[in-house]
This record gives sequence, C-alpha cells and structure tokens, in this order.
Amino acid sequence: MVHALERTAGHLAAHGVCVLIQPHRTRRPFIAVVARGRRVPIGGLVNPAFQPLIDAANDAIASVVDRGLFKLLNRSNHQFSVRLANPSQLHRYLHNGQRPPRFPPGARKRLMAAWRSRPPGAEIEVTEYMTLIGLRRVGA
Amino acid sequence: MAKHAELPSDYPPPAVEVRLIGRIVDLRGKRVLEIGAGDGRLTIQYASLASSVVAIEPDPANVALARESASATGITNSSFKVGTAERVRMGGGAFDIALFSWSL
Repeated sequence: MVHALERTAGHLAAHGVCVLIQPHRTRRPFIAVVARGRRVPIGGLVNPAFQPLIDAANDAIASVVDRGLFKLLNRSNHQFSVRLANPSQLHRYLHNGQRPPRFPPGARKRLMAAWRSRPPGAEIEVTEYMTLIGLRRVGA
Repeated sequence: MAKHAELPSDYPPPAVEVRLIGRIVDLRGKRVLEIGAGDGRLTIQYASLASSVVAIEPDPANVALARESASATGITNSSFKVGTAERVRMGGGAFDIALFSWSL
C-alpha cells in the first residue's frame, strides 16, 4: 500500500492532489428495521478479517505524510444508507464483497425478531460509513 | 439519504462520491489517474468533468466492463488499463489528481 502511494506520487504533478475513499477505520455497517418513521436499531456488524486491511491502508497514508511525500489536506467522515426489502436481500447485500461482515452474537436473532413483528411496509436499513482523505503532493 | 436498492450495492448512491471529491479538489479540466477503478462505476460518473482520465484496474474482466460502460455512456476521454499502481507504466505527463476509490 505504501508502495502504491509512492508510485502514485511519482505520477502526480507538483502540488497534485491524491483523493482516497475508504471504509471508515472503525465503524462497520449498522443494521436497523425501519417503517413509517419508526426505527428499530439492531446493531453494528463486525468484520475481523477486513480490519487489518483498513488499518494497513491508514498506516500507509500516515507513513507517506510522516515522510513528507504528501501533506494532509482534508479528512472527513460520511455515511450513506440503503434500504433492503427483506433479510434475504440483506444477506445478498452483505455477501457482495470478498470479506463480508457478520453479525455479532445475538444480533441476527434480534433482527429476525424485529422482522417478524414488523409493521406493513418495513424495510431493512444498512448504514455504511466511509472516510475521504485528501493529500497534496509535496517535494516535487 | 436512503435509497431503495433493487440490486443492492455497498457503494454510495451515484453522484455522492463525486460531490464529496469536489469538496477536496475541482475535477473540472483536470488530468485524472484513477487507481483500482473496478468496473468503471465511479469513472463514468466524473469523466465528463475531467480533461482526461487514465483508469487502471488489475482485473481484466473489470477493465472490459469499464470500457463497455464508458462506450455506452459516450465517454471518449478515458482510457482503461490492466495493471496496478505499483507496476503500470503511464506516459503522457503528470496527473493533476489521483483517485483511490475503495482500493488502497
């Protein structure tokens, strides 16, 4: 990852900007059952297999900033949500990637209980968290 | 804002990322290098703003999809190459902006 950033710096013009969009360092997808303004929070998912990759990416960014290759311009956190029609669609959604997150103990049971007692028109909401990082090339 | 997804995607809804990138740097008229472009999902959202785009992606199947998407959407200022940031060779001078979208 550090090597990718180093090579990228070499392709950037003086004062060029590198923008990175990544999953939030610690916040994983959050599940809720929603209907007509009512929201039943189920809980956040966990992803131990993914966490080392996120940490390594952030360490690589810190490394190139510390070494003076880039200057940190901006770091901002954002979230977005998608609505899914049922637990089956949630399963498909979560297994889109190579390292899908999983429910912590008890959360799947809470989801299914909330889904069984859902009001008409209920959906499953997944809130995702991401971070945007802007770096300016220095020392060109 | 919440979006109902018929075919769910764990990427932000269209235009969200471009708007957020725009808070950091103006893409208009810039020469952009995108690393890990996947199937061109993001590339086709911003390419019309940039002067030119070189998008690299290690998976040849994704590169083929990106080329198809670009062609289908009338984008002519973008080239898609198989490779990684570490290995790909790029000519044509320096880039103004480099993008890593969910790819570092």
